[in-house]
Amino acid sequence: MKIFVCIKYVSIASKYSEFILGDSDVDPVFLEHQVNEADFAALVEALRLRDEFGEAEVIVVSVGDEKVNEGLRACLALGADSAIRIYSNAIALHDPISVARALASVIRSEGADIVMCGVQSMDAGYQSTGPIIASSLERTCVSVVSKIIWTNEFNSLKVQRDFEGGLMELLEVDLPAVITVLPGINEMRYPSFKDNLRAKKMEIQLKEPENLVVSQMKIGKVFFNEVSRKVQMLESDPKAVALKIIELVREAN
Amino acid sequence: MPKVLVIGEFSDGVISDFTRELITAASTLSESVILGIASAEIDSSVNFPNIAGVESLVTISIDSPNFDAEIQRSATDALIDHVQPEVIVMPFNYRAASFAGAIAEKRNLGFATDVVNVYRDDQELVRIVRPIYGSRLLADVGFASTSSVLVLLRGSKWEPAKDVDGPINHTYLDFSVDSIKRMKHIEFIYPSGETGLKSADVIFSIGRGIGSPDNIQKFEVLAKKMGVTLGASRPIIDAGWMPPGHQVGQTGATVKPKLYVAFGISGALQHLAGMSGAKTILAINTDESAPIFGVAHLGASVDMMKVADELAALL
Repeated sequence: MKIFVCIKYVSIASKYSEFILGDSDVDPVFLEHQVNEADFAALVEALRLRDEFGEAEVIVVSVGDEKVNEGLRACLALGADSAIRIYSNAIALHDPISVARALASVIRSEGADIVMCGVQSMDAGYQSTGPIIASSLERTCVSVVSKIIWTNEFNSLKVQRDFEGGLMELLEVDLPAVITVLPGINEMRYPSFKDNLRAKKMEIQLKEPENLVVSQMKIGKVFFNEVSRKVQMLESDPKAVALKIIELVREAN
Repeated sequence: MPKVLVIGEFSDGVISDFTRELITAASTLSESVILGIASAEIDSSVNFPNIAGVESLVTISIDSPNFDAEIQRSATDALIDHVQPEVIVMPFNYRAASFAGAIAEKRNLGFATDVVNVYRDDQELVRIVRPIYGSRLLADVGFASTSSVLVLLRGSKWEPAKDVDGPINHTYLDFSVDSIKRMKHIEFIYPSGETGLKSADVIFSIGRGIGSPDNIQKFEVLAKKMGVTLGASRPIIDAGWMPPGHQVGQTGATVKPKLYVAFGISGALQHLAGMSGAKTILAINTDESAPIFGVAHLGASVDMMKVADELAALL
């Protein structure tokens, strides 16, 4: 049993961000990185499914340059069995189709029973990596999952999908399958110092995807969300803020 | 005239407001807007309204719930094959996002979700604007001139298109699926505890900044005294500090109150999707770099519990 977990090492722009010449991208020194919260949740689920199954391995896989190794190491420290970094100049890192195809290409050659990832990333929020990987692999995808249970035969999973407005659906999905999970599906775990030391010594394989198609999209320019500059800050005095709230509530009612 | 296909939603006997927003957005791209709908509720007895900006309507009747991603995907594919559009417009919600990327991947389309603006450049090519690197920045994105594009638009960004007089030009499309189903529906679980969030004029919403579940009671008392409705962000619900009915955001309620006061909410994309349509947003958070300030009209960098104490003293 092989469980692949796709990890995004996200890039969040600081509010002081400056842009490179031509405004086609953010100056990378203004970007902060972390493992995408929902992907971490997917990993914790995968580790549980592995432990309940017995003979299974969890492989974390991520697309990007050398800096994503740091994110993969955090996953190894949490208990992933091995890690693969995928890189090639031909991958358009801002194009969800290009990235998901690269992931699918490597997952296909390795063979997977379950592919997991977060519902969406904190930096781009496409909600599409799982569905695109599934399409590329000709697999079923169950999106926005908030609960996963093995069935008795261990050849399918019982999952709970969430929709807008609080509606949920219980369904059973045969393996192999792709599953995207919500960040709230489990409690976040933190690796110990010893785990981190162990992960530091582990090898991260580097792979190049095959048969990449040219990306259809191109970023023209990046700019500040105008609204974010329009916020009017009130005086930092709790009583003044409380009075303002009372005034606003009166106006609205 | 290049065609724009809007994939709409029809449930409980109505075309959703979100669909009407998509029609408005699509109308800015072309005069030839075709509304395509696949729904379990379609039969010859349904009378569809004529909607401003819609040239014609194509519908598919499906025999499974509207939430079945595999059926919705096949039906959407059938609509695209029939209409042959240059641009396909869908709502950005969990239901559509669960299969839209797969359609784009198979057809090699230009693709973007959470789109906040869509327009044509001076060469008539479709371009979009969407978030990048979190919610503080936006990117203007173009596509290869040879590809059709599929875009999922964010809600509450466009005005819903209104009904107009006259009959709508309606085509029923035959549809059948013969694929083996790999997913088995067991049951739907409906949300419990109606909290009135959707119709509330004023919402006080609580986030991680509350620190401890013991502090929630203070806000329950305040909300009751002031006659406002209490909401919460996902982490509060996940921690079991408030019942699920209170959740605002993509998996909770999408709200449009006159006033939304966010107490200690950082503003994850999934939360912003559910409340950015509020008329006035006041964000209270000690972290001035929190993304919530990106959608707020008013902000205050103060301790939410101190504000709660002041409110309690003033009432």
